Order: sequence, then C-alpha cells, then structure tokens
Amino acid sequence: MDLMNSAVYISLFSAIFTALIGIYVFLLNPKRITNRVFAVLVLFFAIFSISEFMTRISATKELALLFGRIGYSLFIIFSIFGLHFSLVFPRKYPNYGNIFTKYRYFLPSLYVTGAILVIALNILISVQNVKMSEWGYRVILDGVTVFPVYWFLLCSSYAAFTLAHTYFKKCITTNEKRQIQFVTIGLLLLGTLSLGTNLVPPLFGIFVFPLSTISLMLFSFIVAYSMVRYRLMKLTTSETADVAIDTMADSLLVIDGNNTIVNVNKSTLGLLGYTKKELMNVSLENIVNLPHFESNILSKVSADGRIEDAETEFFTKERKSIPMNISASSIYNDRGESEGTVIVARDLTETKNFIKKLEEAKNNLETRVKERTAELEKSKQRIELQNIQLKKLDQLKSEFLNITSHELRTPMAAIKGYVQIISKQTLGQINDEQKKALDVVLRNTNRLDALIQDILDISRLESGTMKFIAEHIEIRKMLDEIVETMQPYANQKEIKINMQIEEHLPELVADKERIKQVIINIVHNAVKFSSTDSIINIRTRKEQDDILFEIQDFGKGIPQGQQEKVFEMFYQVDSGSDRKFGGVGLGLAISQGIIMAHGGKIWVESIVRKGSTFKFTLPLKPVKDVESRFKEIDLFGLKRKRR
Amino acid sequence: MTRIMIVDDEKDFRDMLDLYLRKEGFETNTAEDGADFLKKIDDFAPDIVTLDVMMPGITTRKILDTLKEKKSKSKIILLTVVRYSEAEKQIIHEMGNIVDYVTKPFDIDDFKDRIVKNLDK
Repeated sequence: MDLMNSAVYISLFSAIFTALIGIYVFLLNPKRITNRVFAVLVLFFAIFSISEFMTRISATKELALLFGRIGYSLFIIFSIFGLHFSLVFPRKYPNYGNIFTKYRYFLPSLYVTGAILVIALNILISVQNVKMSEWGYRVILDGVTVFPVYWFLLCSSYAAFTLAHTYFKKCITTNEKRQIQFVTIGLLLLGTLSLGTNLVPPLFGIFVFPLSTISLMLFSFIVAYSMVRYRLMKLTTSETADVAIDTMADSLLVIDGNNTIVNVNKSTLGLLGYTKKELMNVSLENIVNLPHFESNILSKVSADGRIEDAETEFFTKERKSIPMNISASSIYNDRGESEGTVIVARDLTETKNFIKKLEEAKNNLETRVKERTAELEKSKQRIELQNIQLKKLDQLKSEFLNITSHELRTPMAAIKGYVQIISKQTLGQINDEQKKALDVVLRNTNRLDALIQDILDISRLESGTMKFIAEHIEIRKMLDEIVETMQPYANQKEIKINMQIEEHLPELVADKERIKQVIINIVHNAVKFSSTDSIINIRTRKEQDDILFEIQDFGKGIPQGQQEKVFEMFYQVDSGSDRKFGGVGLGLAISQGIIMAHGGKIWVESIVRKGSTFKFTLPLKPVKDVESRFKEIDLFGLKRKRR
Repeated sequence: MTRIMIVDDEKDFRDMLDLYLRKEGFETNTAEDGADFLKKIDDFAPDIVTLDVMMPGITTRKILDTLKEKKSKSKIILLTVVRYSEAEKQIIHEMGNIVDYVTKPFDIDDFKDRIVKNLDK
C-alpha cells in the first residue's frame, strides 16, 4: 500500500504541478500562440496525470477502465499537441519560415489521425485489460492492436526531435540553442521515462513503477523554465537582433500598441542621454511630442504598415530637441494584427547644420555676387561716363587742334604773304638790311608752319585718328614730284638730289601723300644736315616682296648709340648746344608711324662724319586696315611708359 | 584783264592777297564769306576764285552746289590748312570746277604761278 500510495500521490502531485505550470505560462502572455499551445499541452498532461491518479484509486474495475481510457486517449492527444508545439515554438524566428502556412494541411490531418486513434484505442482497451497491481489499477496494453498507438507515438516523437534538431542547426545565438536544448532534453526525458515505465515494459509482461506523470511534469517544468529564463516565446527581439541593433549607428526603438517603449538600442540611449532602465517600459511621450508623432508618423505606419524618411524631433533627457529622420514599420502577430512598431531614427543635426552652412554660404555668395555686380555696374557706369567724357575730350582735342592749326596758320599766311610782298619790293624799295631781316622773318615763319603741321600730325597719329587713304602709286612719278618740291630747298645749299630708280618697278598701293611726307621729311633732314655743295642720293629697288627706299646723305652722320633713338619723339641728335638746324624732333617719329602702319620697316645706317642712309621698305602686297594697325603700334613708347 | 575773286573770312589775309594780286596786274574783288561771294559773283563774273574752305556761315559744299546750279564758269582754287590725299581731292573735285588746292600759308610767287597755269588750261 505504501508503494501504491506513493505512485498515486506522485500522479496527483504531477497533475497539480503541471497544471500550475500551464496556467503560469499561459498568464505570461495569453495572446501568444506558443504560450497557448503549451498551456493546452500542459493541461492535457495534468488531465492525464489526474486520470492516472483516478485509475489507480478507482473503487471498481469499470471506473478504473473509464479513467484508463481517458488517460490513454490523452496520451495520443498530447503527443499530437507535443508535435504541434514543436512546430510552433520557434515561430518568433522569422528565418524559419511561416510554419503555419507550411503545415497548413499537416496539422489538421494530424489531429484527425489522432482522433481516429483515440476512438480505436477506446475500442481496443477492453475490460479485461484493467488489472489490479501493487500500485492500484492499471491498464494492460498488449496484442497487435496496440502497435498503431505506439507507432503514432514514435512518429510524433521522431518528428518533434527532427524539428528540434533542424531549429538547433539554424540557431545563431547561445540563448536560442539553450532554448532548444531544454526542449529537447524535456522531450527526451518525457519519451524515456514514459516509454521505459508506462508503455514498453507492460508489452513484455513487466510492470515497473510508472514514471510517465513525473516525466510529463519534468518536461513541462523544463520548457517553462527555458521560457522564463531565456525569454523563450516572449514578445521581444532576439539576442541576434539585440546585438545587431546595439551596433547600429542609427537609433532604434520598439514600442508596443500602447506607445510604450519595449526596447531601445545603445545609439538611442547615447543620443538622448538616458540609461536603458530609464527608457524601458515608459511612454514614448518622454522622448517625442506624442500628438505630433502620432499624427505624422504612427498614423501613417498603421495605415501603410511603414513609413520612410519622415522628419520629426526627439527630446533628450535635458529636453533638448534633436531633428530626426524616421523610418518605422509595424510588428504584426500571427493573426496579422499590429502589436507594435519598430522605429529607426537618424540624427539630422549634422545634416541640418551642413545644409544651414551650405545655405549660408550660398546666401553669402549671392550677396557677394550681388555686391560685386552692383560694384561692376557702378564701375561700368563710371567707365561709360568716363568714356563719354573721354570721347568728348577727344573730340574737343581734335576740334581744338583743327581750330588751332587753322587759327595759327591763317595769321601766318597773312604774315608770310606780306613779308614776301615787301621782300619782293612790290610795295617799294628796301635796303639790304631790311631784306635780310625779312628773310629771317620768312624763314622762321616757315619753321613755325612746319612745326604746326607736325604737331597736328603727331596728335592724329597718337590718337589714331590719322586717315590713311590707299591709292596706286607710280614710284618714279612720286619721286619726281618730291625732287621737284625739294630741289629748290636743296639749291639753297647747292646740294644736288640724285635719283637711282630700278627699271620696271611695280606700282605700290599706299597712302601717297603720307609716303611723300616721309620721303620729304628724310630729304629735308638730309639737306639740313649736309654741308654745302653736297649730294643726296635717292635709290629705289625691289627686294623680295618689298620696295626698298634709300635716302643717302654725306652729312655729319649719327653716332651708333643714337641711331635707333632718332625715331623717338622729340629726339634730336644735336639736342645740346648745337641746335642750329631747328626742328622739334617729330618728323622721324611720324615717318616711322606711317611706314609701320603700312606694314613696312624703317631704319638708319650711319657713320659719323661720313653720312647717313635712311632706309625703309613698303610691302608690295598692301596690308589691310592700315588705320587700325596704326593704332596698335606703340609709336611713341606710351604703353611702355605706362608700364 | 583776268578777274580774280578772293573769298576769305580773314580780312588781313584777304587784303594781303588782294594787294599782291592787284600789284601783279589782276583785277580783283573780295568777299568776306560764302553769302557775300554768292551775292557778288554774278556781277563780277571772276575767271578764278580763291575759296577758303573753312569759313563761318554757308558751307563750302553749299557754295559749290550753288555755283553748279548757276552753271558758273569760274575756276576755283581751294585754300586749305590741311593736306588732302589724292583720293580726297578726287571726291572734292566731283563737287565743282575745282582746279587746284593750295595749303596756307604758301609762297606767293608759287601761288601766282598756279593761277597763271590754271588760267591757261
């Protein structure tokens, strides 16, 4: 009776303890499917243990048989539930796939098979199969009819182990492995103890102390322990995800349906200045403007399931606002109901600052551009005004020069005329001294006139307003005219002007008056610097693509160092005390300008006391735009001086 | 006797030329500007006109146009202070019966020679 009592009370104790575990797990999270399946499974364990207990303490054989039937039927049922549980408990790991979808037809067929077996078993267990033992009544299972039941149990157990093994292989974290290890150990214990005591030995007529109720209790306890200890089947992110989200640079928050924060990562804590304890299980209100957050983000998440790139602000513990970029997704349970939201947030402070700086830079740039544009506009207006003034000045200068030359030359024309009339004695006899004096007046009048002409020319050359009119020039004819003009002047010093002109010279195209002016100027100088009874040679010949002109005198010559300078404005070889030859040093500068504008070259070759030869070339192929070319020539070294 | 009309706004110059040409045996008349000249030209009917190109009042061009209208036979010597290129002379030549160009100031004997030369043409 002691043994019977102990077996009876072990069953009762197992039943009560198992039932309590089932209730506890169910209460941990009643919404969770795994919890529910487990609770039902464990409840069946408890009922089985009660049936076992009742079978053993039954007063009659019939009553023992009834409870025996219930107990063994439950064996079938909880083996089905065990398998079901094996299928659903790792459901929280998404990478295992949707097992419910996968086993959509399997589970119902499993239950149907179980039901058929239960009915069959009830028929099979006969009255004769209940027997009094030293541990009270017990059901006797024998004969081939029992084998389908055993076969079913074996298959279920095998499937459960296989599943556990598969999950185990796919596990990443130690915690997950622990959980599956616990479940496996529980299953092993359950199988070993149940089969080893209640099921297998009786087949061979051996009756040992039945441990199936204890094994069920141990299985329940182990699984429940793993649930509590390793958070198996609880609504939370896994260890894997925890590690991952804690290494994220972005902030991550998980809130449940009541906007309570159920998980945060380290980035969030670092950003907002909270500890994990302070932020866990508190309202989201602590870190956001909740009405704003609900209307702008959560409402969209609940409508569309997710939101991306929304903007909001988080508040730190010190209530400092931080601009955030938000992406959020709903978390759905197995029934497709939203249970919470995962929020991934990125701190936009740096970005905003950068954008602000960019905008500031852009604004600065715009302001500067505007300022510069305004300055430029002012400068432009100023320059335009100056330009107008300069043009006016230039015009005034031209007018002034024209008027001046007119006004200077007109009285000179009268003076010169009267001097000549008197000198010719048209108005009566004059003596030699008077004649000599009048000749001086006349010579100086001519000098003054030449000077006025030079000044007029130089100002036109300098301002680029000199007009060049190209015409066909017969060189011989032009030189004849020059000699005709200059010979009387040369005659005054008994100087002979010789001409050596190459035969068949082609025509030149140039401004005849200006070229004549150049030659006359050089010849004039030659006469001026030659001694009495001298010779001046004018030679012309074709040289490659040019016509070369040479005017040779046998005068005092120009020292080597001064030969280039004679073409400078106001330069005079005899600028010292010996200024007996007159002139202001403009003639050769003007000549150089005219020749260069025509695309030619001018230079001098000279030996002191032996004489000088002025040479210049003019291209046979006329250059275009003589006037604009002329403007480019730094004739008077003005640009050089400005530098 | 050859009749010469001196048209110049400069009285001193005009008088000088008038004196010289008279002494040289020409019959002269003077005009102080374009209007005066055009008033006198029909009565005097000069063989040669020495016409200053820069005078106040009527422009040289207008004077030349009027002479063309009048079909005047007078030969014109233009007195200038600037040098004209051949091309410029060509353009001016189209304007009227211009026979010569003389730049002021000038040699009076050379000037007389030119008058005589042009009269013979």
